[in-house]
Amino acid sequence: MDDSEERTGSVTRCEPVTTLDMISPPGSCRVASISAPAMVRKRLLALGFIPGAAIEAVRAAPLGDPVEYRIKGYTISLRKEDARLIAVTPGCA
Amino acid sequence: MASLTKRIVAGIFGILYLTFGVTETLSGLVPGIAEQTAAFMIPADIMGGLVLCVVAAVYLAALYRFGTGAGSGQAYLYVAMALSVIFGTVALLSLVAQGTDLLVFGEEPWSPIALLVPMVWLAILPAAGISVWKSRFPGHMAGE
Amino acid sequence: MKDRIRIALAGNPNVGKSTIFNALTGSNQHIANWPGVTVEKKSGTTRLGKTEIEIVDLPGTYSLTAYSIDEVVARDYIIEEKPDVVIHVIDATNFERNLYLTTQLMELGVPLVIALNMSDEAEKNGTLINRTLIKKYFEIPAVRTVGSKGEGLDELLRAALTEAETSPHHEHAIGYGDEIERHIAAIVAVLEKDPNLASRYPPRWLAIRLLEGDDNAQDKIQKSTITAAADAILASIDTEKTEAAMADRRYEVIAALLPQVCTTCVKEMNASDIIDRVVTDRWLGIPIFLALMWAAFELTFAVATPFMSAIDAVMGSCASYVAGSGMEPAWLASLLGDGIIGGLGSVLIFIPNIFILLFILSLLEDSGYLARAAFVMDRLMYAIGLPGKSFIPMLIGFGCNVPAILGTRTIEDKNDRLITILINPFMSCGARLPVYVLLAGAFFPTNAGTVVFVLYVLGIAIAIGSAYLFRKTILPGKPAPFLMEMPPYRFPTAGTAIRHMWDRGEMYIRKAGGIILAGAFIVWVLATFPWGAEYGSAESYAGMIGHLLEPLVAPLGFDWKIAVALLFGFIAKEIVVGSLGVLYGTGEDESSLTGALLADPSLGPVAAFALMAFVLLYMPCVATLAVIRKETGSWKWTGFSVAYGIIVAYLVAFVIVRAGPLILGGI
Ligand SMILES: Nc1nc2c(ncn2[C@@H]2O[C@H](COP(=O)(O)OP(=O)(O)O)[C@@H](O)[C@H]2O)c(=O)[nH]1
Repeated sequence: MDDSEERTGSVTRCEPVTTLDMISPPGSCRVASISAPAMVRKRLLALGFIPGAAIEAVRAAPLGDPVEYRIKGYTISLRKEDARLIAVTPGCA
Repeated sequence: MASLTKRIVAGIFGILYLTFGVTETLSGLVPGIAEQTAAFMIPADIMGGLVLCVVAAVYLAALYRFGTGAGSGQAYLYVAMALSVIFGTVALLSLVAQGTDLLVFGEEPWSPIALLVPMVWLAILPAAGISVWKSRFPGHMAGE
Repeated sequence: MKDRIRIALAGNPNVGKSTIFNALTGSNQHIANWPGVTVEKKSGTTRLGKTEIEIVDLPGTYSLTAYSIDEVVARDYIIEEKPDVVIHVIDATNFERNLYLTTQLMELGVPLVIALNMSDEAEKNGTLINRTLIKKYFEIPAVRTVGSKGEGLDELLRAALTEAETSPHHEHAIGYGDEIERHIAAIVAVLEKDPNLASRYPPRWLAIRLLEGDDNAQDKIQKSTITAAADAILASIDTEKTEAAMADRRYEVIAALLPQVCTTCVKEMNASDIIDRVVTDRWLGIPIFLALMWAAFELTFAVATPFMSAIDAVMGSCASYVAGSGMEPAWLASLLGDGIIGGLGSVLIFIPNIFILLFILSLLEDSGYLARAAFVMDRLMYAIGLPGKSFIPMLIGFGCNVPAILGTRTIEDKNDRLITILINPFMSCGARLPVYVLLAGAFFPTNAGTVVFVLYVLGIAIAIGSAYLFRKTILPGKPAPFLMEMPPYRFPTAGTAIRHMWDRGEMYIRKAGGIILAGAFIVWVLATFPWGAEYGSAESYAGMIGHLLEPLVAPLGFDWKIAVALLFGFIAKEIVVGSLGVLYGTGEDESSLTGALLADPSLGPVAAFALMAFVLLYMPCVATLAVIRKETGSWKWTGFSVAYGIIVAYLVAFVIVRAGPLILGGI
């Protein structure tokens, strides 16, 4: 397929794919794919959520949702509901 | 490791804010107390009292974190001091505004003594502390 | 040298674009809306040497896809209006992510200049960006700027001017790899068959957008001769996969160049991270937020008091001067005194509140805390179908709905904002308190406090219920996805805050002022004429309307006097008290008014409570309506707000009157 697989594969022992909302902070993972509706997907891509990108879950809001993530050196927060649309491979920091 | 000074600061201010916060809140809630507390320049103000309690909680969280080694104690102390200064400034501004209103447009007399409420004077030391520690804070905290 | 050029400012949100825009144009700017949409368009002029430069501030965007109206506005401007140069303002502390937009701007084929803004902060962190290498690899000149201090702006303009002179057309292409390039070539070949299309849009850019499945680009080719041919090619391509591959490729290009251009790109944001640990703390996050909101509230309303007293005093002495001047004819004096000066007073009286609140909101936004506040409150607000940012306007509404509604500007999504605006009037503002104090004091002397508290809760409940209802019916959907950048904390500068405050506040005076004046004038006419009738009495038009309305409000237990008082309450709800004074013939004296109310057989505790609920809910005051009109840009929603309020108030009051006796029992 595309080279994202190759890149994630080269990193030591990745766990099976799950979704971003399952990564509880502090934790890290890499983007595998995005299954959001077109509009949200475009925004996510522009923000750097491209396959292979490293994401770090930094902290959750006081009520557990949304969660703040660090990606490409800046931080952004997502609701769990939206994070669910991003498939990730945990443990591949 | 946090220095002893910082623990003491966190502890003392935590207790001071808590004491005055609880007193202000209670004077607002229970009518009888207000006359006694007024003598100590403690307003009967439920909301203001609760705000003092929030600041107290941040100081005490700093102390707790220094004590248990949970980390980020410095961060809590720094934010607590910043909150002291913010609320102190807000209280000062609003009292000055009230005073101006009374002096210019009201009939009642007003004296600047009215500015000396806990929320204002408690902020003086933290304000000084921030300006002294300012340069050292971020580096210290990052090191934790 | 050209004697006139046009520059557009593009960039991500929060990079200091408006700071640079303001510094460049000074006071030579004007604000309008982009045609057809409610996105703000700021443009201004400056000059450099003999050249007059027009600068347009584009909306802040992360990319130039068609994700939001802002993005469409920004890219359509660049493509269709073809500015001579685009200045891309970049936040140097967040270089990599910012470059993504650069790659998209490059594809538009316009002359580009990069402003490396926030350079002071980047350098403090230890980030070093090599501008010579940017020029070498991207073929784009880059200038170091510090917007907040005005550093590097002259150089920026000169670079832009040089770029406009020397490079009529730039082709900065990103290679997308064999497969995608083949598709691009095929589509470009088709697009070029329509000369009309090819001259309007750069074919390669349009082809790339089409490959990404961009609806807006699809629309652009709809009325063309080649639609069918293009669609045929696109049908065979998995645009979703191509899109991801292309985004990936852009970041790859960036990643390849980054280490060379940015020798030490520091990514940690220590200080911000440390503050966030505390202000989003599991236990302390919400209390700290609420305490800060108390501070905002206290400042907005306490600090405004002397200014409001001053405005009151000035307007009062103007009015008494007019009254004492013995002006003829008498109706002219009344028009000047009661109508115009009174109306002007009701415009001006809000200014201290509004300006202070806008100033505080601006401080919160510029310091970066607003993003954390939304983060902390989002879960709670989401439960009622609103984003976290809606919380602040709702809270401010307890003070006054006018600044609260102006404060909804910070909410990006249109529907989220509209709902937040529409439910705001139900938050019981300070002007309603005198009405409660009078009526609760008269009819519920022992537990007035509880009654007032119940009214506030009733308002909140109605607001929440309405938000829920609107989400289920007229404004369906969910709050916009919460993709919010957490900007690093910055020390806000007073200059920026004052600027923001002035921009918004001035709009209030210009746009809402007229409507408020008109409203005040209408009420003055109704209360004064026919000439000779006592102001607001039964013989005046207002009194007649009250009698007309009486059958309508009779089921609620209200008589014509109350109908008239409610009519006047449209100017400002506290006026209800004064009007009742006039109508019961007791004037300003509240204790005799209390007696008169208690003696009125048609009013009892239940009717009084129904009246208070009605005053709480029935319709926004004229100033609130004026800002609703201004902020929604639509009379339709303004009308809706009135109608909905009246209906809800009527239903609630009706239920209270019917069910009240059962609950209140013996009282
Ligand atoms: N330290 C620093 N702060 C800046 C600079 N430029 C702008 N700011 C601040 O950044 C904040 C956001 O700026 P603004 O112009 O509103 O950003 P916009 O959203 O891109 O229009 C404001 O508080 C500015 O004072 C800069 O070069 N250095």
